[in-house]
Amino acid sequence: MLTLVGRSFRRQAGIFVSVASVLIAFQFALIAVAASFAERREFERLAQVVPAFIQNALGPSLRSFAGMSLIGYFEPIPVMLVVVFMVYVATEPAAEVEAGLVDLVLARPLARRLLITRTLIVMAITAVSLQVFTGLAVWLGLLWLAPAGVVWPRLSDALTLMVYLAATAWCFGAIALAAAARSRRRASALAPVAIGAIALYLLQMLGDVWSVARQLAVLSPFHYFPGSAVLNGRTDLALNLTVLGTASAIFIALAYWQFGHRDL
Amino acid sequence: MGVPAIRLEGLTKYHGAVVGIEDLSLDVEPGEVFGFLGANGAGKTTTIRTVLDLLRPTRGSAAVMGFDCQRQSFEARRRIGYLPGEMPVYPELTGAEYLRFLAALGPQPPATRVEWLLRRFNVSDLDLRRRMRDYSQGMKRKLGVVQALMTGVPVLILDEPTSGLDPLMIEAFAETIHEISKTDGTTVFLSSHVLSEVDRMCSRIGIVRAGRLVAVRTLGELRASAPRRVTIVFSEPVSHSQPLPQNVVPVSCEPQRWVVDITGPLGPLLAALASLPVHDIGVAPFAIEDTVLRLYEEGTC
Repeated sequence: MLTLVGRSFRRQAGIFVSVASVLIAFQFALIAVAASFAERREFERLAQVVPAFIQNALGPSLRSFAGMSLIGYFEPIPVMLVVVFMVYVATEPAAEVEAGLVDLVLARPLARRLLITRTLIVMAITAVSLQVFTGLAVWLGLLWLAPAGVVWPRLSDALTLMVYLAATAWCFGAIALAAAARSRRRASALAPVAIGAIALYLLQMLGDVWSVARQLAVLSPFHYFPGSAVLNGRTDLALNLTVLGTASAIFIALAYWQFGHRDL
Repeated sequence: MGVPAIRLEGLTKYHGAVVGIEDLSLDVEPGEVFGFLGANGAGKTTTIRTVLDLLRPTRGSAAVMGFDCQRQSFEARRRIGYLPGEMPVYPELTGAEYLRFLAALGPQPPATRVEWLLRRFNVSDLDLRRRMRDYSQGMKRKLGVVQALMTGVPVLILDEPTSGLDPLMIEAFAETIHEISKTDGTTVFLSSHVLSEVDRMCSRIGIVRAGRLVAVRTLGELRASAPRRVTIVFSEPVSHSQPLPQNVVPVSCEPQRWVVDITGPLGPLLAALASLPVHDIGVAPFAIEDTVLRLYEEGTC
């Protein structure tokens, strides 16, 4: 198993480093911007010029140094970057079928389920390590860039957002894994799930302002990732993680079943 | 007779409405080098991938060393070394890393065997240090052969093993197959459409056409049943009304030169020619191509 996990990591190392670098750079940039706003005391002015619905969506993140420092955990671009990367990682079984590598690996005495388990381990390590790297970036950024006297974000808020982002990305990874477990080509699993993730994000955003979309938004994993509400301390972490975890478990079980019964 | 190295019983695989293979039954004995012949799309690779449990049969079964390829797939695959028809590679790995990776998946190959194979297939240390993305097709194939043979398992399944190899390497491959089947008792099941290679390496062949096994013969049986062309030159004109044995079919009969096809032993023909002024006799060598093509066209088992 270690051999398979190591091989998988090495194949994706380049993309992992790129994604982690973008996220780390983004966190540093956010803290630099937040520091600049704090030094010029512009948060109050920002609150006056930003429309109410955006303030609703972003919560207190535009009203304080602490809030803006953590916006990278629920702002669309970094969130989608993490989610789409997780979808990419999860579709490795389909890539192996496409390249014929599965013939080489499974001609040896290995159970098919090991390839799914391997992918889950890689997904888990990827999700955790991305959060660790971005968390370190936030901490170093605060040490380096935060003006004296500003209130830092709460550690509990940062950890909660990391858990939410990792769980949401993991859930999309599980969906992608189920798709990959029955696909012959990576693109045919990756593209619909990645595009679906973007559509579900938009649906969740629409749900904030439109009642019809709000009803459908319960189907979106992003519905259970109330990023800005974390900063207000108004989230039911246990319930949301249960929903995301249950959905992930169902798709993972489906992935095992499909990969175990299909023609490769 | 003990447990066959490979046993196929009514093995059938449909890809939707398309027949992959149908009702394939076959035993390959331990230590045998078996050639599996057929045109592209005849069902060779489908058979092999079903034995490896990469495809699930629609019906029927396959077993390796007595282990069912679906229900005891793990045990069956522990006894198989496999070379895919199209060599998949990890382009970012060096040759050495590729072999180490596959060895780590098991069974563990003895280091001496790997070194022997690398020498045999002329793979240098420099080659092993290069990334596989820089390899030629032939080099990838050589690494593929090495990884299939390195574990010393009792059954080798090789899909088009010589495709992409140069003549020297084909020679090395044939020698290696001969050696390991004789000394280790390894069973080799190789698919090919290069008949001359099969003629050289295999003791028995199976011919598959449109997913069905149309013939299984030893090379001896093929030789015995194959018509050979005999040219007889006379020192003076002879009458072509001379009676010929039953196993001889005249092709052309000129006064001083007869061309006939003969199936089976030459003795009766030589006896019939004893009273004639024979100047020379030429017997064309056995050509497996003709025989296999005839069997393929006849499609009879």
